[in-house]
Amino acid sequence: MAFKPSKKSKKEIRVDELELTPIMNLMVMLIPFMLLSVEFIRLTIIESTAPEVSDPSEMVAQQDPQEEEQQKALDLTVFITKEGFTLAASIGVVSNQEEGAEAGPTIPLKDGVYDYAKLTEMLVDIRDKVDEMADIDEKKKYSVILMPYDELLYSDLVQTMDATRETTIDGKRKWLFPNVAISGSFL
Amino acid sequence: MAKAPSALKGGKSTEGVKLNITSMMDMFTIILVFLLKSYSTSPEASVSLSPDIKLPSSASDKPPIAAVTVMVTQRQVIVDDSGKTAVVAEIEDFKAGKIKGVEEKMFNIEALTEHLTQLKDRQIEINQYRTAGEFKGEILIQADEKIPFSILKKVMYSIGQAEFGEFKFITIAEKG
Repeated sequence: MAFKPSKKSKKEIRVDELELTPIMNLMVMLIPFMLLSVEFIRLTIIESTAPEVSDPSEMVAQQDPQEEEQQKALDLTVFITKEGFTLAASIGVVSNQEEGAEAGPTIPLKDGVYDYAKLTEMLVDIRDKVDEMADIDEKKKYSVILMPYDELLYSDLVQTMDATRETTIDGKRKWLFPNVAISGSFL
Repeated sequence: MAKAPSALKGGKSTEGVKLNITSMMDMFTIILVFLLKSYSTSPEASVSLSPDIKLPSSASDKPPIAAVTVMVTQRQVIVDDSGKTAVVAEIEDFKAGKIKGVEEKMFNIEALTEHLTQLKDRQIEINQYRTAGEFKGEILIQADEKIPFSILKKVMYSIGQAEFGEFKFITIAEKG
């Protein structure tokens, strides 16, 4: 219900101006401090252990001859060439040699770029086969040796390392071959 | 600028200059919230990146550690030891993989190996006086993404010769 406007003289309500100095003080202190420790890019590392170098012209790891006899070693190697990826292993897990297969790379270039998806796919198969094998050298079980050709760009090498290290299947992370070693001069 | 009204009133109480800073407060609050979100105390703040290097991105998620860094730009190879940098090699033609002073078929970059051996000796000496400390041979490698493998091969070989065997390649984390 609306009442008649009061005839009482209204007292003027004076609103004090908001005292913003303390909060400004806080802002001036906090913001430069935060600015100094802000992270715009996050850095991560890829670990790789260098194999023992015995011969200057070859950087592939030399196995201890005594150990070699006791256990089978996988020696999974991925050759990265101009034409694509070529996989090789000591034990026959790489099923690329079909009847009458051309002597080309296992995974050729797709539209002129490396087919990392196919590489990961093949490695998931190999990893599953390796997991089933019992008598395999434990230390070297999940290692892969990369052998790039000389003109391979570093960014492609890093992407290959990513493709061989892990993958995500149905939202779950699956480790493939996390121990990577980089070798040179396979020619 | 608003002139203080007191001058015009002649003797009455001085009013301060009214500064309307509520909008600045708004801005500060938003900036603060954003910075709070991206605040990070991880040790990677100590890894100094070379401005000449464009790092490749990777899906890895291991954080970097503080260690000696070897930076391979398109023109130079630099060793960074906690802020002290030293250019150890010049790259004449990075596309062809030609490093100055290193012949085609040779792998060893002598200046790099020498410098790293000195750093290694110093680290081992310092570790003698520390109870927890064993030379692990960790080294960070930063390389521009367009560096061909031939140059990286020589750099890695030379580093290996100085007995730094644990390579850690620095990359930028991929989003998501």
